[in-house]
Amino acid sequence: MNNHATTRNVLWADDDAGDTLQSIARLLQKRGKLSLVIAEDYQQAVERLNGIAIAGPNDRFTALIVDTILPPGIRDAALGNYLGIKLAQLAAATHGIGAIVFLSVVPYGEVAHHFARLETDHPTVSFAYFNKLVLFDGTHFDDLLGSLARRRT
Amino acid sequence: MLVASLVICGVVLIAMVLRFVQPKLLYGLRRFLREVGTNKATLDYEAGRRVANREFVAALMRGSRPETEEATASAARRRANKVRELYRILESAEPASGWDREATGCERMRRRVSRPSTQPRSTDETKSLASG
Repeated sequence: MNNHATTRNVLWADDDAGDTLQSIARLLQKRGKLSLVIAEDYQQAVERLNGIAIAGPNDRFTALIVDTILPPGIRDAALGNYLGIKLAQLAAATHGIGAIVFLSVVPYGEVAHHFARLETDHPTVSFAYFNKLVLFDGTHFDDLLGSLARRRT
Repeated sequence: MLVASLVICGVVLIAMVLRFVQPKLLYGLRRFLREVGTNKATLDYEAGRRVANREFVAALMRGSRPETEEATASAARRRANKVRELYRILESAEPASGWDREATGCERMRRRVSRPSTQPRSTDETKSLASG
């Protein structure tokens, strides 16, 4: 009855998601049973978000996985150093995404104040921060999958 | 022995010529090897082998050393981003202590920024915040 809960469309914005991290994408799809759409830069991610915004409720993205350092994808663009943060801000503010998960090599301490601001500005969105360097250590990968399904109330 | 040496010299010579005449062939090979590295790490993780994370980090490091394929602003920006990532991977590999180290490995869901404001920032953190 509630298809929204069973169909999880996830956008993954990472410049490596299409090649170096392809096997991670496959593992996410297999273990998380989710439909993954990949964007390799900021511009592409915004286009994917805008494109899906006009689709039906079951096609909309329920979660976003985002790299903190994201290429702009626009010629001669100077959009800032942490485009992943900017994308998360946009997705949370205008696209109703329930869970936003950062997956990056950037240490949490470096962006902690940005992260705190996101949490304050968007209290209904669930945010999580994962470091790629320990992704296959312990239960981090499963934790990441769990946080994709989470939504704050 | 002589034949083997000649063959090795020939292969090296061809690789060197290719490096300058058709570098994209070698770049493609490197890209392929990177993908093989992450594939292997993923398979090891699925098989429950403890080496998976180490292999994955090694593959990430190889992926963060891109070649200068073209001389354009976007290619330079892409390369700069990769170097930024490599810098952070290498920095994380170095021994650190205290809050910074904890934050590097931090994978806490919905982690709140709860550090007391009286606790001073480390020099590295202050630097990266200023540059960000």
